[in-house]
Amino acid sequence: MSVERILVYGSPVQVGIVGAYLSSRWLGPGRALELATTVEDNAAGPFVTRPSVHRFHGEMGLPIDQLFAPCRGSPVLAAAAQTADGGSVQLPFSAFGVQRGGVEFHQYWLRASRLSEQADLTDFSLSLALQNAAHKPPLAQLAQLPVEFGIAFDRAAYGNALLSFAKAGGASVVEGVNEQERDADLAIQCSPDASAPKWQGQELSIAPESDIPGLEWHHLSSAARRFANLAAPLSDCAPEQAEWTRLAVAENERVADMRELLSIDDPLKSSRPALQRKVEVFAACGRIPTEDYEVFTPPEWLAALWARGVSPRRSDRMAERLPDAQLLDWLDQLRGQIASLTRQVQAA
Amino acid sequence: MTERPIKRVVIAGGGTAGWMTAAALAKMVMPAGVSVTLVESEVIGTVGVGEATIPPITKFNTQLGIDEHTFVRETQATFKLGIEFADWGGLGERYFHPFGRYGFDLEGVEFHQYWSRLKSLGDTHGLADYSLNTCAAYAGKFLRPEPDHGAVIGQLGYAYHFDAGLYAAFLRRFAEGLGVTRIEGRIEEVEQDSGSGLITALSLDHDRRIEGDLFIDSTGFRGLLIDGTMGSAHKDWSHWLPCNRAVAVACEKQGDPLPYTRSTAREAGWQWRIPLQHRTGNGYVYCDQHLSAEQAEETLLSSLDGAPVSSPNHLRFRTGHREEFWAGNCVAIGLSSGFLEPLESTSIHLIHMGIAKLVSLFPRSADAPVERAEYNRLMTDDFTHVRDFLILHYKATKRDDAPFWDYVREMDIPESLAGKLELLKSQGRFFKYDAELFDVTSWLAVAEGQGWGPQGFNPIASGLSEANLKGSLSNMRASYAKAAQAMPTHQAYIDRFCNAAPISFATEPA
Repeated sequence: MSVERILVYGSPVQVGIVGAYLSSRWLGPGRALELATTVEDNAAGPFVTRPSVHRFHGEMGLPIDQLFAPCRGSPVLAAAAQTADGGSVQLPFSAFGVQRGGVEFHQYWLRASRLSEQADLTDFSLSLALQNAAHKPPLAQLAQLPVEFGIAFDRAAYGNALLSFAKAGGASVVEGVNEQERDADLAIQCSPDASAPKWQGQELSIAPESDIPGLEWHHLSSAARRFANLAAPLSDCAPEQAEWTRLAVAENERVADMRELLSIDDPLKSSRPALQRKVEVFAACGRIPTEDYEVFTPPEWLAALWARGVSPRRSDRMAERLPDAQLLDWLDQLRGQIASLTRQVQAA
Repeated sequence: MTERPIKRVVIAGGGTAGWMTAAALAKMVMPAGVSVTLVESEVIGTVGVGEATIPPITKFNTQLGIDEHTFVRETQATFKLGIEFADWGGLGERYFHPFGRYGFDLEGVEFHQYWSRLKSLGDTHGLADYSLNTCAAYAGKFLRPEPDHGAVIGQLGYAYHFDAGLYAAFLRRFAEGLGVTRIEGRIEEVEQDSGSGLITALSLDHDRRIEGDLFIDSTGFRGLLIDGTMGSAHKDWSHWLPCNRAVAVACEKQGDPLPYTRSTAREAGWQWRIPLQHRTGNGYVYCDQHLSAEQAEETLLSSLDGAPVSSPNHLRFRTGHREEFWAGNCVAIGLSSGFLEPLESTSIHLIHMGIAKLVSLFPRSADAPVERAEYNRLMTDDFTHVRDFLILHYKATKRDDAPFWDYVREMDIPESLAGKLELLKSQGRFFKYDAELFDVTSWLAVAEGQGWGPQGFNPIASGLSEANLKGSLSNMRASYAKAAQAMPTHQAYIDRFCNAAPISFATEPA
């Protein structure tokens, strides 16, 4: 019986993420998985994951709880990104305020701001309040709150833990990558050397980007999940290759939109059609149109648009259904609840 | 330019689209200080698009706060668990497109991958054996799933068959109750601002004039405002979906109503059968290049369950949609916006989508270019996704008994569909676009049902031992069969909760 052989190479944490997933979701009879750490992890700071980390680890059978303490984990409720003016913006994973009657909170806030002076929109984000609190609540308590969160791990510890998991699942670790090893049925390159993600022939390049916290993890985990979901006999997989590449490229386009929004001097002058649409529609009516295969959530887009000075010319007409006095009372209550909840969590 | 704030919405045309829009705007927009007026004329008939729906209609009614059993009773409705397709893949073949899902995922792997693996081992159970909707539909059963019914019955998805005329009347009462003004009258002229081209008023018979800020065109195929006044062009898709005519007739019901729609492929198109509480709706959708109106009518009348209770109604349509669904300050909703044959009962759903997007993007002023562009983009996506799914039914056929089938079997298909089919056929892969209506269950049901199902399976499904695989899937089959057996009959459910008053056809309006 012939054996299908996949080689995964890159830095320890990159290879660990892809290797651990494939060891649990792809490896089996007639298959071999080899992992090679070919470059060092030189990046500073923790390795940030996005909220889908919980599902990713659940699918692998390696719950976050098991890694949290050994990998010096800390909850992340918002990712901090740099902006063109040298400042930074926090992109929260969960919504600002709460929806009411099918209308997003920021529409009510916009309307209220025209009635009287209001606290900043970011003051109505429980995610940001908890992210910026002195102490993060424990995982069990966070799970009870209406917020999405990822985990920031110590990069080296997380990489090592995942590599150990992969080895326990049957993957083998090889030293370096020589020409013979590159003859694997498929070589998965995890480092960002390639310009764009692509699966063609016997090479699959993930091309992970890391300029926004959580993005590198997202690219690696999505690439592994997508590959496992599409996995076909490696000798006959042209449609799967094309689909993997199409999906990965589509996601990268959405990431590129966010990158441009954060970095361009004037967001109203973007030449990227999807970003242009987002900016125009948001500026017109406060709605954020989404595209297929978005990576960032609407609250993240809202925070980024807001931080870049794009503000709606008007609020949603539906937000006018609430009488003025009731609207202002509600906003006061909501802000009070967020402050109180944050204090309770800190005190616990 | 002076901004014209939206204070008055005028809906041109009643019927299903007009009154669905009026009801939704009454509920969601009027509290924000906007008036809603609907102009219709009883002299002008309505087409009554489809009487069969898909599950999202339940959400629309829920959002309006409509009690389901009252609605069923007042519209002579029955419950719908899916669609049976006969003679589509080949003559003598049939399959069921269920609304609920197939099976349960195991170990994070989609169910159908395990089913494909079991099939590769020689097992002959079809997807239908793993669908509660299919088991219940063929047993004539129905039960509205409630939260405490558990995971198996919780998979049941449903929609309705209803009398579109009664639905419009039901929504009219609802909308008028919330303050919508109805004006009986015939539109004689549409007035426009000479500078901006925006519509300013509708001139009615007897020298009446209805001014508005935003106009909804629900005037049916003729598109009096969107086409006649705003000149929005029609994007034609008839080369992919060549049917362009239909003949419809209602007949007496025979026995208890079945909880599903039946679609039977015919010589040059297909025939629908929609069971209601008081009668059965029937129609033949066909291509006039391959069949005459007389032949279509004869075929339809010769295959009814019972005696006809109405005269055959002949309709002509063009498949496609407006280049601009929203042009100037006019939004086309319903048949005026476009038409896709009701093979998957999407007509009322597309009305629902138009309304939902309009509410979501409801403009502050009459000229709202950004909202308009976004609405047009989203509606085009909706139409395109549904179009691809409809084309699949025609393309995936082995039929070679008539020139119509030769044409659709051999025709080129859109790239977006070709790529999807290639993946689905190879290993059962399916990736849904965010806004796509039909999910993997729907695509699998039709592809597999017409012989274009997966040839292989995701190797991850090999992770389960053969004994475990067989045991798990056997348990699933047993669970579905048992749950379907325990459910009340469709008729018993209707009798208990929502039996409609009988209608005498002698007095029913034409």
